Amino acid sequence: MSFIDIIQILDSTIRLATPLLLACLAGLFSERSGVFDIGLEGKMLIAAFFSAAVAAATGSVWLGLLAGIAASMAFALIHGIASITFRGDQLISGVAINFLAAGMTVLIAQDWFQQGSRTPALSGAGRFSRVDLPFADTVQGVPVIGPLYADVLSGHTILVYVALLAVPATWWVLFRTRFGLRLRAVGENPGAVDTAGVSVIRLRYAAVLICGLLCGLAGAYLATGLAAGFTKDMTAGRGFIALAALIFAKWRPWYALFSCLLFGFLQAVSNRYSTLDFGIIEIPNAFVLALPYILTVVILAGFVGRAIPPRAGGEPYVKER
Amino acid sequence: MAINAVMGEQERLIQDNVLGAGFVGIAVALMGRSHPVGVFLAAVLFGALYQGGAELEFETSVPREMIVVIQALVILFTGALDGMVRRPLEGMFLRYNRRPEPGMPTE
Repeated sequence: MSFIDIIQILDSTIRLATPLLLACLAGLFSERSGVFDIGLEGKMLIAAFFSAAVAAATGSVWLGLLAGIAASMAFALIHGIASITFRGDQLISGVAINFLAAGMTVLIAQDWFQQGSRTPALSGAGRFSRVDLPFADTVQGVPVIGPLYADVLSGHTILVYVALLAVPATWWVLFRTRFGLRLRAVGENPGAVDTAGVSVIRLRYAAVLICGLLCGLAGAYLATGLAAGFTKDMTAGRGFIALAALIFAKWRPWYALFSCLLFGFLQAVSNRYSTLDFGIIEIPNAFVLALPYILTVVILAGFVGRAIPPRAGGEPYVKER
Repeated sequence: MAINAVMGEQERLIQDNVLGAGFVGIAVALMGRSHPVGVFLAAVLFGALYQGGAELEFETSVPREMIVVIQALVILFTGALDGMVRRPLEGMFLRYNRRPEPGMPTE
């Protein structure tokens, strides 16, 4: 494995980790407020479809991004209404959202574009173009650091940098603002927040809508940044890997960055090599793809540290009368 | 269930051979209200949906994902949104039952 191989793998690690990271932060907001969300996958899928469809129809990727975010937030609102207002089961609502997105995207795509559950391939202004960071060309010549900066960090679409900036932003909102303190409290002990005179329902709706916004970014990135257009089931389990990354990160923003980069790295490695040859043993890439789930189970079983979910997670809040 | 799918239907192991039956099973259990007879009826309905989806795709231009949407709505409204129907209904019955009581002593 040469230096160029490593650079290329790291480059695709960042590209593949971005949707995971956005979805993981989305889940972080929702679950920290006590609303479990396994509908990340569905929200990403519907956002991917609507961003690609609107970008293809109007030729503007920014309108596509807005449409994707709107679709994702509408689905988040369904989840909120089901699990906050009507106190339904949050897991079941998430499953329903996943199914709804999987079916609706194909149905609408077939009816709209008649291309067999795909949108037309996007090009030009219909996709996010790459952004070069300043001084990328000048630093290029410096050994080791130059290629790391110019090829790995620079030259991604703008949503990649939005995702990377979302990590400190999430940390700041959750741990340094009044809103964040209340949000975390609502996930641990909603009764206390209610006693203090803060609306539990409004806080949880805010968290669920932020979750929809971030999932919308993740889906739009998949369809208009990573790929050029929507294809059936294009999220390919990323919403579930993001959930695994969230548990792996113990519901913390900075850990989420590292776990998503790790899982993105595993995806990049398995995309590049069909088998990993370690001399003594050969490992098929399917095993590398399964590693995120295996690691999560190990973490959940309590072998390496402990992952403690927000205490009020999964329970609808019932005000005492 | 898995043995039936492999040795009864396909007679070989293919990728995704159970066709997501594990997830759809949740919908069936919900729609059957966790009662054995209800689950049986819901399972027959979903079986009919699957077969109908295949026929639908064969005879019209509607893709078979239509049944996935129907399943999703079934899960959503019977599972997650059941409070939407149940609570107003319960309230209605409570009010209906309470009303005769104030009238009783006067008669």
